[in-house]
Amino acid sequence: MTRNRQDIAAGVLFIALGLLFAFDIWRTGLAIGEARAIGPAFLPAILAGILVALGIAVTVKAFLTRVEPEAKRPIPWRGIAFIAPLPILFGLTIDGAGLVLPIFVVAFLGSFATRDAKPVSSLLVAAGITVFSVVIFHYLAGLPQPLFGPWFDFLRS
Amino acid sequence: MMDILGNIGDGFAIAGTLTNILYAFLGCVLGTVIGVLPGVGPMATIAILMPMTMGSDPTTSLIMLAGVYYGAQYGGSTSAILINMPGEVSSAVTAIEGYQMARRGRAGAALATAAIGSFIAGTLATIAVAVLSPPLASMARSFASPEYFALMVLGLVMAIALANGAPLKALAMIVLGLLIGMIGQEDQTGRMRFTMGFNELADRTALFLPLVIGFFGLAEIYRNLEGPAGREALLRKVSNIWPSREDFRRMVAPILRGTGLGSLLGIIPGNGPVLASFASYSIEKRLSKHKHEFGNGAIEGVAGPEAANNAGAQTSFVPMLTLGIPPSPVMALMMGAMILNGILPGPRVIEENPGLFWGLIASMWIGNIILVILNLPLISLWVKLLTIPYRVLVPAILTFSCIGVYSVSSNAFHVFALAVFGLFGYAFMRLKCEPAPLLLGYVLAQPIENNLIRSLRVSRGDPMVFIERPISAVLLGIALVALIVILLPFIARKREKVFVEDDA
Repeated sequence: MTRNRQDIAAGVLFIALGLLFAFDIWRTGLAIGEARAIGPAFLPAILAGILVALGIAVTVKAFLTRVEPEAKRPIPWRGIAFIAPLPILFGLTIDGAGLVLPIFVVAFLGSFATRDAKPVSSLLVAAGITVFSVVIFHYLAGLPQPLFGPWFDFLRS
Repeated sequence: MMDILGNIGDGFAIAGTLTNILYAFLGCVLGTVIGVLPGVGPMATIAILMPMTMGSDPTTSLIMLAGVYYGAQYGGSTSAILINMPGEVSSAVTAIEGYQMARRGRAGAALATAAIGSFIAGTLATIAVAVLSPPLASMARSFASPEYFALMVLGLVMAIALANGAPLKALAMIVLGLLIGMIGQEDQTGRMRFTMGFNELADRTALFLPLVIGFFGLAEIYRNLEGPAGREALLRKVSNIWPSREDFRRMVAPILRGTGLGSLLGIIPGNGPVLASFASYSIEKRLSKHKHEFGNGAIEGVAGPEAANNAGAQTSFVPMLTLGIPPSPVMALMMGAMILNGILPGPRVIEENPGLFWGLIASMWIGNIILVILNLPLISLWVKLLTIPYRVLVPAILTFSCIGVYSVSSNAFHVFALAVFGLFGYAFMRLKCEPAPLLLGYVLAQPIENNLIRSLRVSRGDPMVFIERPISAVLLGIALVALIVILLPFIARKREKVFVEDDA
């Protein structure tokens, strides 16, 4: 039997998030109001309080009880390292570069989140995904973004 | 009765236009294609594909999304049966007997049984939806704010009741979802809440897509990457799809029982379709004349749960469309999609948008036909999709998620939010906090707050308004009792554990 670390972490996370919302209510000076005319912070303040209370309950319960140890699941650091920044990259480039380049780069780099990706096949996969996405989103769904954005304007002159 | 027939007729006139059939077809195909992919369940499928359905008019958009939903379910059963990788809990039941049938070389019969069961269930359940919705909606039209508030509280409490896992954490996830739903411009005063100065957060529906695609798409990718890179491909050739006469004889009763069970449980808040497929499995096991076959590929164990699941999937539209209460996580997604399309689900939808309402119902049946036509002959094509390796699957889902979020808002900010929610979603998954209750809270946040404010304004701040009105009192009473019942075992267990430790 072992301590339930999952629940301790979950409880602490709930407390932290609850406090974060409470802090923002205080920081922005939102009115809580009164029952007759409740202010914009009335329900959020109550909910933040409940979330903190539930977080405490989850944490306390986790300290009081023991659980059977579970098989450890590895955290996919490689996957997270490759995938998590890619939406950011996509967001930073999409307005300037248009659809094609960001899609291709995200698909290419994203495939390396898996361990069995190889450069050449990933290039092919990325090309395939790009064609497929462009057909679906640009031609079928009619997304207004240009295929190649303003960054490529120097080629057009 | 004639009314209903007339309404269904009108519905078919709308759902039967070429555009709508085309979009329903497209939805079914895309839903099946993504849903059949290993490790991608209906929630992930719907979340990822949702942006593609936006942009056309609301009716068409919802018809396509509903098609995605049915397609994802069919696809999920296929991967459950063929490689024992159910994408969601309800097809986990199908996997029990279905995968055993596949191992014994009867994959074709199992797939056909699932398809036939789903089709019959879908047809009958569509009728149930058409019959049940109007009276429920007209009853709900007499509701005022306090009743709505109470109903939504009940819906949220029921969501914990049937979430698997710790009820306290589920409750906390609901509260967190409600809080996230508060981010944005407040309706009454127009003041910004929790936006941290980002104008992109002013619209309270702005976070919906990043949230669902992050929690159900990206987080799902991270989870899939936990395992070893190579999946064992145990694919057998699927031949001989048509079930034998004996098979047909054995599947009829389970399908009908499953349909009844599913139609009934689908309406009840708390993920009825999942409950229904479990219930159907145990009933069929008890009633079967071939008990020894259960666990080794009993056809009843595929037919019953599949029918139950599909019937429940259909009738779970009823409370969402008529009351604005999503009874299952998928319906919370659908409700979010409706709100994004500018339609607030509730009793007024039938009156104000009869075309949308009846068109959607008619399209359910059309969708079921499309799926049978699509699935039985094309099975070998779907089977090929099961062999797609992660190094193709992962970048594809990632790219679709990014474009999807961006395509709806045309704002890079929401793609950044997607990255954040993906990490949060995975963290919660690791901590065994289910994301579905959070989604439910998020979707209901705005209506629940507005109904609370309205109730208190009418009562001049007297909270007794919720207890003095009989319907809201009863609803809140049920919610309270349910909450106590859910939390009681936890209290009892905790005491027990504490005592055990004291003794030691």
